[in-house]
Amino acid sequence: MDVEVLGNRGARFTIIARGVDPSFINAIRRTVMADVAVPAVDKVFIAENSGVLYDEIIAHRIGLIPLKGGEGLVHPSNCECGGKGCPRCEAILTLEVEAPEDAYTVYSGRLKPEGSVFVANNDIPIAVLNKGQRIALEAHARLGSGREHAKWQPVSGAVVKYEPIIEIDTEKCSLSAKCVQACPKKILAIEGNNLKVISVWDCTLCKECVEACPNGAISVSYNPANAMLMLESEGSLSPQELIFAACEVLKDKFESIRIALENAKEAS
Amino acid sequence: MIIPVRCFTCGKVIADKWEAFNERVGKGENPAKVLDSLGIERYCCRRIFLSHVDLVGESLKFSVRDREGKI
Amino acid sequence: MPGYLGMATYLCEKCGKTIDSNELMGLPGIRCPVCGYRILYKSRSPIIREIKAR
Repeated sequence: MDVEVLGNRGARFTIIARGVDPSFINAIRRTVMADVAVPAVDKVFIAENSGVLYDEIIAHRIGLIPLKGGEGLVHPSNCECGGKGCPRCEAILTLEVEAPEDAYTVYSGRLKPEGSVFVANNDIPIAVLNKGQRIALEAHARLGSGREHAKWQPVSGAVVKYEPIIEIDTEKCSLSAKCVQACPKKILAIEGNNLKVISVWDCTLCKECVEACPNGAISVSYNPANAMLMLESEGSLSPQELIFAACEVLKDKFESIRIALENAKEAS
Repeated sequence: MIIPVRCFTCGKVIADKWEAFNERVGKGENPAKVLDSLGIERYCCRRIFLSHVDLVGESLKFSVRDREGKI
Repeated sequence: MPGYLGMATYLCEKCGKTIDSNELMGLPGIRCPVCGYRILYKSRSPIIREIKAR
């Protein structure tokens, strides 16, 4: 296998894996979405809330805020407390605000970390308060996976696709530029006396160019031996860390199959 | 009401970009271009911005003033 | 401080006095026992509420 980083723009990370089955890359994509454990707030203890938003709305909004850290936390399903929640499997964040003016917005950056878990995005509005209104609460974060609830899903975009192949027959091509206009992703261009493909990986295999060409000079196909993986992280872990974590999860799953098979009894 | 924290469909955090979007569109910029520059690419996230009506300011007008934290 | 767990307290809009539900019981209709004003707000109970964040 040979991996090339196609783009690393902010939270969006794209790699191309050559000589590997797309189903293998897809296993990593699905594991990142559903099985990588990241922290999120699951229980909120509200002592005071005199604003217009109900306790439930505020709790729900706090739950959706992406959190980072939590390396020392134990997954509640493996914890001694049996998943009820204890300092080993939960980290606390507190919020105490009194609005100094009308229409005062409380941002996620006001959540004060008391443990190993921190807010990954400081600019999310949690509530809007009028002067003198108060919110005092304690939020308990725990590890979880996207399978349980979408708030634990560490990525918003996760895409796998084959390598598109665009073949141009230079003898038939009349440089009419009809395909250049037809392409919705604008990946074709005429440079000098040649029709060029600027970025093959942006191709969605829609075949608009094939239909637009009056001479049948262009053909679009794909190569399933090479695949692209795009991950868009929400800040809990970096895309690279997510891929490593997904590989770790897959390794554990395969290991559990091996153990189960070794201990398997013959059916009577 | 208040802008949703995440996109309903893909789960991208969008609430942090609402204020910039609202301000720039209020100044007369083209919403499509503002969304592009904010990095909101998918139409699932874009529809939330375009269809959102921020009513939290309206309900604030009817809120009861807190008196020393008693309400 | 009036009120214990499970008892509702109210706040008068006009005089700002705190009233508990026992004081309201003996009155004909809902009004402030101190000033007679008829707008009362129910205060938040002092219990800490646990809410699932989902």
